[in-house]
Order: sequence, then C-alpha cells, then structure tokens
Amino acid sequence: MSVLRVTADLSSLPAVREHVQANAGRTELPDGTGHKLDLVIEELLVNVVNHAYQGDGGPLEVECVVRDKAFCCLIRDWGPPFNPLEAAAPDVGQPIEDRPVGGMGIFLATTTPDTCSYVRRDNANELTFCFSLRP
Amino acid sequence: MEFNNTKNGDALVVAVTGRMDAITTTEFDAQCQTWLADGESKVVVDLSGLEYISSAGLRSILSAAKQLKSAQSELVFCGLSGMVEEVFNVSGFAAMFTLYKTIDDALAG
Repeated sequence: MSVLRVTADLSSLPAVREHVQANAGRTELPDGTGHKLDLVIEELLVNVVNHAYQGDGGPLEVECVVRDKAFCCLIRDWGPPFNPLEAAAPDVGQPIEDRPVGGMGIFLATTTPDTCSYVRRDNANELTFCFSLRP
Repeated sequence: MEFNNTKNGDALVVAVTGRMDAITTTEFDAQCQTWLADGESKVVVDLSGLEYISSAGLRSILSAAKQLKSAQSELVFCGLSGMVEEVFNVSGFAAMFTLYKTIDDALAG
C-alpha cells in the first residue's frame, strides 16, 4: 500500500484522514470502522503535533498496509522516544468537578483498534494499529 | 459542525450536527460562552445528529460542564448513538453526565 509524509500540524489532518480512508476503502472492513479509523488517526496526529516537536512542525509518516487479514496503519514521527502504550490510563470514574480536562487522546487511540504495537526504530517512534478485515 | 438552538420553556435545546474534532470543537466552546452570557439555566444538547467525536470534543464538553456547573446551570445530553455513544462509554463520560434517549425525556427530566 502507500506512504504519506506530511508536516505534523493540525492542517494536515484532512489529508491524512483522506489517505487512510482511501486505502481502507480498498479493503473489506466491518461497518463502523471508518469513524474508528478517523478517531485513532486524529488522536495520534494531535499527539505528535503537541508533543513530538515541541510545537514546531516536523515530519509525520502514515503508511497503510494489509497484513494478517487486517488493515494496518503505521504512524512514524522523529521526536523523542515516546511509547503511547506505556502512558497511564485516565481515571474514568471521577465526577465532573474532579475530572481533569484532557488526557483522553492516547487512551482512545490505543484502546479503539483491534491491535496496537510500538517500536522505536531508526530514531523514530513507530506505532502500528490494525483493524481486522471482515471475515 | 452546526448548531440549531430552540428555547423550550426554561430549557435551551441545542441540536448539534456534524463532527466534533480537534478542528471544529472550538465552535462548541464559543457556543458555551453564549449560553453562559445568556444565563441559560438548563441546556439540553441533542447529539442525535453528531456522527463523530474525538478527545478534543470530550475536552470541550467537560470544560463546558465545569463552567455551567459553576454558574449553577444544568447540562444534559440526549440522542447519543454509534461511535459517539461508544466514546462516551469508554471514556467514563456516560457515567459522569445525565444522558437521555430523546429531547422529550431530557426536558421532562
């Protein structure tokens, strides 16, 4: 499949979304996967925008592949080492007054896909997430 | 994202349609400021037309809820479905807020 390289910036979100949806559209995914793909992509991109390059732009790569009967996206950034899977889960049981604003992005990104894995490779953070194809 | 507001007695019913993401969610923030400025005592947010929400949307909703609570205003939601409902459940927002099925239920509640 294909690789898209963009600057990590909120304005790149529509292009990244389109790239992923176009690739996903060539596969058979269960109904409702489209919005879930959008969600994971948005959360991961926003995280790179905010944290990988200290607010300055930097490169972001999105690669889409089909492997092991699943549609997978590999998100790469060249910021400091960061494994989203090690981030602490938010406390989802707090009332409105105590619940801190923020902290849900990584949680939603890593719990929504069917599988999610991380590797630090060639100075890059590489997060791979997959959604199983329709059986 | 579009907002369609109607007054129903003391309540303001806000029908939100479209997507609530990192780019559009500032529109919700702006709406909340008008509810506070207008002194709305009860806001019913109808999400039946909302097809997508991300953590940016959750942030806006929580921020709005905290501000309205401080102003002694009530904020409730109705019409959740699909991935919006799933995101509310997974994030604990479904437990934190009062959710109704329909606008009528929300107005009666």
